[in-house]
Amino acid sequence: MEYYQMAAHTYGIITRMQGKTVDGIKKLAKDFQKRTEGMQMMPMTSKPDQAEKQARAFRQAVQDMLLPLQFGAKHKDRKLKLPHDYKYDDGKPHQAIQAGVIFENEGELNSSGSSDLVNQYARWMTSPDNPRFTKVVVNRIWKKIFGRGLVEPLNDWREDTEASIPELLDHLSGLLIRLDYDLREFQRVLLNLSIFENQAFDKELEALTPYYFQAPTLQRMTAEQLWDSILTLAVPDIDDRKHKEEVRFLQTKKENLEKYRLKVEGMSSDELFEIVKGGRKQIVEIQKDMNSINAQMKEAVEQDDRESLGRLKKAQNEMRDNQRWALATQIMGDEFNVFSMYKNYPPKRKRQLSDEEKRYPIYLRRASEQNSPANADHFLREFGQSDRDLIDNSRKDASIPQVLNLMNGGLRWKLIDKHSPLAKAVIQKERLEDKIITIYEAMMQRSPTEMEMELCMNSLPFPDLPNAAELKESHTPKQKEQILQKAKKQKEHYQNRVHNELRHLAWALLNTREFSFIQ
Amino acid sequence: MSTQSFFQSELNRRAYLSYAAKGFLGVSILPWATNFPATGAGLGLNRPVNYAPKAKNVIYLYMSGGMSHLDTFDPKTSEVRGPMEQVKTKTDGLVLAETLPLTANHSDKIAVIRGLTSTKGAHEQGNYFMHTSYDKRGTIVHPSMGSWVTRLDGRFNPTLPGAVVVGTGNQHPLSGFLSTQHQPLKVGAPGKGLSNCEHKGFDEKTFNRNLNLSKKLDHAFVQKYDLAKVRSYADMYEDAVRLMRSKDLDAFDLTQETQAVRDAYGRDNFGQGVLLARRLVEKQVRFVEVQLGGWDTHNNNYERVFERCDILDQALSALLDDLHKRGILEETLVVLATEFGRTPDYNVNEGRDHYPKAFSCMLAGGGIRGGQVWGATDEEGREVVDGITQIPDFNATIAYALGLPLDEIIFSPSRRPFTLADKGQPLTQLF
Repeated sequence: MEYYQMAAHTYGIITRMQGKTVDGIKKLAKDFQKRTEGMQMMPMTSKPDQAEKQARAFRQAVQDMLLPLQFGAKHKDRKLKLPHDYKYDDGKPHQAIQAGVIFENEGELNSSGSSDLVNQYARWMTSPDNPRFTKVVVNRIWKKIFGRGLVEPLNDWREDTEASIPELLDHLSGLLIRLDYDLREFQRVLLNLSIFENQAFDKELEALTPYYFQAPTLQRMTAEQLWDSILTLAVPDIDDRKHKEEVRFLQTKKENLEKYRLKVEGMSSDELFEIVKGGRKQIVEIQKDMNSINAQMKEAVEQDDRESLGRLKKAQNEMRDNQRWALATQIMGDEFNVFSMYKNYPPKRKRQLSDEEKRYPIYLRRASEQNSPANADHFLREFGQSDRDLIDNSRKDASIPQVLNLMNGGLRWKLIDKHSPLAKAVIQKERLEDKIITIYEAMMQRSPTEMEMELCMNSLPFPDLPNAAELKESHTPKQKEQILQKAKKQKEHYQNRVHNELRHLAWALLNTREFSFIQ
Repeated sequence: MSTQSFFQSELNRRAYLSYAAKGFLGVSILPWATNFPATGAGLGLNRPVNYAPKAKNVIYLYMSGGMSHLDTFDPKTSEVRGPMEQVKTKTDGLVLAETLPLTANHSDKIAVIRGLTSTKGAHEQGNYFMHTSYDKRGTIVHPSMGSWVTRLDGRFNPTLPGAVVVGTGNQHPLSGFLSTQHQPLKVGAPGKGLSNCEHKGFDEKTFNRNLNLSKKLDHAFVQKYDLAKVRSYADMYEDAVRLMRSKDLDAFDLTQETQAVRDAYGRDNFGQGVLLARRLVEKQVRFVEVQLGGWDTHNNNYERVFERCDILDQALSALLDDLHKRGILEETLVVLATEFGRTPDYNVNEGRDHYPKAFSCMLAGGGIRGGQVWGATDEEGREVVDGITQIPDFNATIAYALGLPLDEIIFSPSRRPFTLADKGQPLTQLF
């Protein structure tokens, strides 16, 4: 019952603005149904099964025409009812349910219209008097910073849930309320706690024994942190890199949808009907082609001819697309970008890339600028980025693809190739030791110990320093010039060879646990 | 470390013994019979002593989101069918929905199980239960079947992972509380194979030198933080390097197949994943799971099931055909599973909702008798009326086909006892 009472708050919101539910289009659709039914009575072919197929294709096309008008949300006065098989004593099947909350905090909730209800719900949820809201927020931020929540798991709060240190949770909740939910300020306080400065806890945490937060727990970086850490070292001007094309596409999509909606709403149903009638011929034509393809496909299935099956499927998809937006094209004209209303990504096209673009393709941008979730084989997903199927679905456990990626993936050389910010910083340093220190500071946030420095120097075959140019009084100016030139070349050569070896050092550090874990 | 290497050698020994027995003597030894007294509710009681498990490896196709039983393997003629028609198969008494015409041609190879039932009506819990035979809890993660297989019976190919999962989301329990050595390898895009397996720009010597340097530079950290999550990366580095050097690495490379074969499985991620699974079990990877999502058909059930089945039907029929032609269907168990079925009644959005009370799964190969149906639901697919099968029973059947010890107790790190299918009893009559 409580579930239904809670759900009743938002039940009035309708996000699927299908023909049935939106007033204007509702009328249109009804009108259409009547008229198009009439059209189906006059088949364009004498074969009855063909006629049925054409009619179905046509109905589908009309639906597809209305499809772009579906997006959006509206409030509607409708009451949530209990399901037909409701079995508890506190209600009867099909009984309408008043909105209610699982614990009181802001006095009586009175329902008057969907938008009021939703606002009321939001107020109730985020009220400081709500006994859950603040604590849940606190617990999440605490976990973000210290690696373990005061309540675990994060998303399973029950009536008898108790924090591992209840006083701390209460205190922090009070603090967050006093800060009026300023999350930045709240985190500033937590980050300034002396226990946060302690090195990460070095013992195993057991699920059932309490932890008293002597220090943050040892955490592997999240997928996003790792990706960004590597990219900031590897890619120049990382913060200027945004995916403009996709953003532009979505912008266009939004604008076009709006234009389309205005245009359709501005048309009389007679006008629309004329267009639909005109489009009908085209749809039927496409349908004929589709039918022939379907027949070929059937044949291919029977003969188990899988090769042709693949080819036919592709053709079928293209036709289906054309059929889908045939009517919308009729309404908006050929100039209008219909594609954008039906698809979520810009069409792929080839163009000449600049050297810079080739070196740093646009996909090398911060995790927050990537599509989320990334493709299943992306670095981010390999390292456990959430697939967004469920809440809190990111992971941090080790896997083979992760280490393959760190050892052999595309980023390992990018990290310190000649153009990367890290490489530039390294090249600026003259002395080998300083170069090593620079790499250590950039990647490990500390200087190498003496032993580590020695290890680096001994394990990697650094070339010997070239001799300094020896200039004598007796040399002619030309000879001096030559000697200096030679020395300069030698030095360049030396620096290149050194840099080449340092790439191996960067590789070695990238593949340490120390790099991926936050101490 | 010492306990791990103990397990490893122990597993290899057992794997070798059973492998050798199968290979040389044509029989399978019963490893648990010698190592474990058959006491309690284990396998010992209802298992024919003379049954020699035929399955060596498993291809496990998971229909994520809840596959409608009524529109696939348990079609009805009553009103609940909606617009769905049936298709006859070669096998008397076995009809499938019209969504699976190609699979119908292979009905002599499959066993349809129509009496599955569960109480888990939400995806997360249902998916977890199907994969582990245990309820989802906050304090522990149970291992999935693939990890149990390598834990109890070892790897057959020491250089490839013992288990692989293709196209899964993040909620897969993987190796759960078992050591990360048993963790299934996740492959994101099967068409691209396993990326990053070559150290381009390094020769072998340099690679080894660098790896060595990396280890030394990491020494202090690894000593200080001697924690499971840190150690598991060391395991992964070992496994990854072994994999990189494996002569069987090209099992992951689908471009080695002809275009015709690749087309046969379907050019989508699922089809190519199933093809990859076949290549991997040929190289004796023990357990390959391939997932097909999108079965959560709350809206437009009819159209969407058709869409899904297009993909499933093509890949599944190609797989059965291919395994059969290659003569490895008998040693490869093909499983088709899902978390629950869907409501007999259509909802207002022309969809079907979650329905754990009755649903269907499928088995083929691996010693399973083809052309049979086990269990039945009533004429509306609401209740199981015959051969009721719990999810742990279904998982126990998979284990039985492989000859795994159902009563071998493995302790979690928190010292709690677990068995691979909890208390499930295998459907021995299917063999």
